Amino acid sequence: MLPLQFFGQNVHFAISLFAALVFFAVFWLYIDAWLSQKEGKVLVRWLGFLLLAISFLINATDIEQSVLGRSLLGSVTESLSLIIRLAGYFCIVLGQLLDPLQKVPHFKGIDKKDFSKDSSAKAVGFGSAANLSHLLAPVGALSIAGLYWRRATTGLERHYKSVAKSFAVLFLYEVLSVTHLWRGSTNPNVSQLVAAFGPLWIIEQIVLLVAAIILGRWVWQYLTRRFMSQLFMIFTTLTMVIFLLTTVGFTFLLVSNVQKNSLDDLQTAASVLNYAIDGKKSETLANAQSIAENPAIGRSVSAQNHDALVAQTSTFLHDKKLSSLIITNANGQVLLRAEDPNRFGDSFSSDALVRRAIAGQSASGAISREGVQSPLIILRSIVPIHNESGIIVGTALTSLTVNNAFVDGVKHATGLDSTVYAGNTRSATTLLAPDGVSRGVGVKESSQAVQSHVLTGGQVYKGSVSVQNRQYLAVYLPLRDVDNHVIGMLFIGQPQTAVLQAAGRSVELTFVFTACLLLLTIVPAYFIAKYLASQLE
Amino acid sequence: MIKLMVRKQTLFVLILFCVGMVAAQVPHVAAAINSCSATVQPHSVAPYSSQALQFTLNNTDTADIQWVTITSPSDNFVIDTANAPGWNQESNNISAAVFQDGSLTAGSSQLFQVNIVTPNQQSSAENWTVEVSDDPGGANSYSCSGTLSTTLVGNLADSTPPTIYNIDVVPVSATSVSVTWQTDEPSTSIVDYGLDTIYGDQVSNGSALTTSHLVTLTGLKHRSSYHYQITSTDAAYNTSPSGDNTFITSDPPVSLAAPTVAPVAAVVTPATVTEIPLLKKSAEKNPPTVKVTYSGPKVVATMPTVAGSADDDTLLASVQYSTDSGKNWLPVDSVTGLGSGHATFSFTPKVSDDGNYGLLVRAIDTSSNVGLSAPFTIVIDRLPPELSGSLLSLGPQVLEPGSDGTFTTVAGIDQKLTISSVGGPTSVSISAQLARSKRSAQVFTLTYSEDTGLWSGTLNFSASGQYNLTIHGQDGAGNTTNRNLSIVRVLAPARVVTSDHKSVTATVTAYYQLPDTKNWVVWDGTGYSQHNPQLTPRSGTVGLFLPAGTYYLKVKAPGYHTLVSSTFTLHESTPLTTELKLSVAHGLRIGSANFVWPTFGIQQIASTSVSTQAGRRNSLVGRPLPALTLTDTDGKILHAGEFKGVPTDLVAGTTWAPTMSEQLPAVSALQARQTYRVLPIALQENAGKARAYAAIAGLKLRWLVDPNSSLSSSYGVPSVPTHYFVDRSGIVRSVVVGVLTEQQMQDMLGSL
Repeated sequence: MLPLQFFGQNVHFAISLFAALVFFAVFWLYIDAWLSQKEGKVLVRWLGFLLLAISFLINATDIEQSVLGRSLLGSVTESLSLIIRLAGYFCIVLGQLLDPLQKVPHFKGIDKKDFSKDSSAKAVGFGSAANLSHLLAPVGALSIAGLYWRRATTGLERHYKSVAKSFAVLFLYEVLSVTHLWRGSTNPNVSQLVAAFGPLWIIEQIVLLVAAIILGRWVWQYLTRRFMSQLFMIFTTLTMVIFLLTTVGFTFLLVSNVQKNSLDDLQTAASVLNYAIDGKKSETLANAQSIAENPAIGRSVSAQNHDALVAQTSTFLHDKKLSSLIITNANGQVLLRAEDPNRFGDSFSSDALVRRAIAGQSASGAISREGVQSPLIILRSIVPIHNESGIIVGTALTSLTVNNAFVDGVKHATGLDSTVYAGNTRSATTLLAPDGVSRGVGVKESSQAVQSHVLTGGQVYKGSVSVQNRQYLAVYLPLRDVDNHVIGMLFIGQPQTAVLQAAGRSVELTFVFTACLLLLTIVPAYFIAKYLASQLE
Repeated sequence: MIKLMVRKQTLFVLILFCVGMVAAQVPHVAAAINSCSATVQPHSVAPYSSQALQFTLNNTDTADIQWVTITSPSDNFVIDTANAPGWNQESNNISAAVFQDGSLTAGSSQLFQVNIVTPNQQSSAENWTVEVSDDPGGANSYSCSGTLSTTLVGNLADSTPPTIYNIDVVPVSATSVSVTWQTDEPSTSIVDYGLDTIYGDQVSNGSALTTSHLVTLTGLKHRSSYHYQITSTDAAYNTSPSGDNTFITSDPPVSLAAPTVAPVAAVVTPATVTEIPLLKKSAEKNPPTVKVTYSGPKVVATMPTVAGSADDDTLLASVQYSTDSGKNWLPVDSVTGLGSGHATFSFTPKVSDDGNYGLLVRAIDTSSNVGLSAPFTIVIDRLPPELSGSLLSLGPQVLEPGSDGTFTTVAGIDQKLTISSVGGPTSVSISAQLARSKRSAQVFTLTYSEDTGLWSGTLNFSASGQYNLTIHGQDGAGNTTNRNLSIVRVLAPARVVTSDHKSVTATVTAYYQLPDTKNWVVWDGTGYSQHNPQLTPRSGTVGLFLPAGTYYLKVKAPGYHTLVSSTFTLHESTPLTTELKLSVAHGLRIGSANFVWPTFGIQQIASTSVSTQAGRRNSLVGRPLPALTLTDTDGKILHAGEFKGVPTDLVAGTTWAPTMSEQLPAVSALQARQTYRVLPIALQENAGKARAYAAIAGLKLRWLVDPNSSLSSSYGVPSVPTHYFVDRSGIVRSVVVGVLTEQQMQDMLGSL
């Protein structure tokens, strides 16, 4: 669980939503005025604030590029929010320019400059110069701040001072947003400073909150003057608060539930892996049995006829997909090595499995062997070979090296990464080395907790571990040899981010859905407010 | 009045609206049970008994209970079965009883019965847990309150295991014995037996209780020392194992006439039977003495026949020999005098590969005493030692040479060299001589692995420069081989230097960017056997060999500005070779505190630090193919002169190298097309192994085999695979080291 990112995402959602509400309130103020007069210049103004409100509403649903994966619409969400915001700024600036100052005439030159800049943003268009439009947003906010300030100081409308201040703070927010462009910097100090959920990001959120509070206080005093507006805003605010609390609460619950379920699923998958190993073991045993019960092979073993055995087993390894077949006589002397037919005559009498078979027992087990690149886990089964009169004349020993193909099969079946460890070294794995091409075979397990729990303690380990610097939800099982000693481990896991991404999709959908519902509830809220107000009058 | 009514109306609508909103948002959150009580009867249970516990569950909540779990407080109360009318008990869990598919309506109560089994001990009061939920799957469970304690009190059952005495082993036949013993109380009879203390076989008389026991073991092997253990369990399930005992079975048929030394493929002739009396474990402790009378040469081409004699003060049971200094044993080929105090034997070990064989003979008497001969070594020497087909790997990854066959690495880090051998070398070393330098060569010793049959060792170059690697092998007969192996270009590792040229101890930390969250973490080097963060030695060298990824470095040293590097991305495992320059921190010193002006500057590190440069040309290029006479897997003999008329690619390799499993499918595909002649050569491996390898891999392949390593000196294979491209007139046109794709091979052959 990465609570910081998750918390940050929810804070971002709440603050953006609050900003949207405040701009919506300002819009409401202006549209109220416009409805009574229907003046064109006021239309541009309310349209501007409406666009700003929509822009921040979209911004709220934007998921920072993070553990939660890519946004639903990709980078479109951010671009859309930015374009609408620019259009909003443009409309407000236009509205200000159309509305003549009371008393003191204004300087046309300055305004023209701002004007032309904004229109250039439009000319540049959507995708090609996103960077330029990033830079235009602060210009827009600063222009509005300047225009309102002029109206408040040079002109008579003092009450606009707060609006000017709020847009000045918003300018700061926009400037901080521009730092997103440096996220790809090769200077680690810079890139960490401007990273999502980094220090500048936090300041950015705080600044937006401050701007929204300043504007909110200003608009509130006007809205309270009319009963209907007041009622309408109370409804809208209340709805928003309810939505906000539910959404945030829901997302937290969702993530913790998804995490818990994933770990339970892993436990099942680990059992599947164990089962698969057991299955392979019984397969080698069945194959050894088929050799031992073959009467022709039994006669060749009785006669200690190496050449006959070579001929009889020439296609066996390929047919059965095994890596080794060794046939010995009753003394443990090798009569045939199917994988290296020219080498025979040496003795295996001290091998634990061979000893069991000579004593008349069939057995299966896993062993760890040194390999060229990494140690290998080999599953071996042995069956005694009897002659016609039931006397043990030899043994058939089959082995299968647990390789990448095996773990690939497990990944194919479960969709989860799995690894077979010989001791604490990866012997076969679906995990790729960091180059993304070769397998991460030969890498040692670094977690002390896993090693002591599974290798030393012989117990199952369940939890979150760092695998190649990546957090995994994982289950480790001990792998035992025929004498029940732990010789390795089985790992099955899922990157924690994959789990969060699954939740992240739902979280984002919740955000979008909530934003849409909010828009929808405004309509009934308006009518209820209107009805109540008319009743009062 | 009207006004007041309007206000009420307003308030009502407002509340309705709010409630509606909440309901719309959270329709799926069901109300969980949060009130219930439960009691258990009885509160005390006798040890070592079965008992039914009655749980009364009262649902004091407004919702219906659909799921109940009763959890045992500890192992003192093991759940056997559980039931309740109208409920299904879900699992065979011994620590919890889960009831499902039923319902306990709000305000009602029900009895749940849990049958438990208790151990033979007492315990203080322990509390059961009763959890309920209104969800059929048990979500949001709630733990009920109430008196739920139970205590284990009462008389303890019999806990004294039976005592075993008077153990005796009586022979029944050559392959069967009876084991008898007595116990002080009625108990069961079980014997575990086997050739070692793992036992593995068991005979028991079932659950019958008796004080006089008799168990018969059948199907035993002749002339074998058996281990056995007796176990008796009384009515109260107290068990006493006897500890390990041994007996020896009688001798198998032994040919009294000395048989001819049978080749492995021969049929063993049946022989007359000599019985050796079966003995119980005996107090006789004197081991037999064994003498080997071999006076032939120590160095031979094929294993000679070894003879000798064994003597014992009682009776000899068997004589065995080992060719691996006592690890594995085989019975001698012929022996006379078993069952008496003196035996003579002879044997011919069936080994033919070059090497040093530590021979050892042991004789075992009927009391299981083992006597060993003096160890002696016989060296089989057909060929001088040859080493070929090397593979260099770094941690988990195989190091591939550049196109010229030169390896690039960095000083001060470990790489593993693996190489195969023929001719049975007993010591292998690699000397690395720095080119154009008077320094004496660095020597690395390789070790032999029984598991892989290969030699391997760790190379670590102390200084940068170009090294010529020479391999030295020596076998037991004193033959030596020296051969140029390959050229390794060693780069200087990253180093911390200071602007005032002082040596400092700096802490170097590599940070790794997580690919998904883009967060930076301290790189975890333990999996790669590296330290991070690491303290540099006074020389300032930084031993970092980073796998692919995006990184940056931080270097800290007291008195210097902390150095932060630019972020850099590696696409393959790369050694760090950059010079990290620390500048002196000029700050304000007040007392012991030193205030340093911060710097935001960074040091640039290029994304790929290792560049490859052209090495020397392979000396074979432009010349006719060196002489070779090899057999292919079909038994046909080929000479160098025959590689004319068709463009040819000879791929020198081994079956054990991981790189070859990548290369061979392409070779097989080109062979099938028959446009060009593409032939893999199995270095130091025989036709049988090459054929078996292809069969296991499912490839149709025609190999050339070089079991005696005749190629290594003239071809100088630097790594596997190495491709030798020969044109129509039999001239080597290029030598390429490393895995090639089918298309690459086809292009190369097409240009010849």
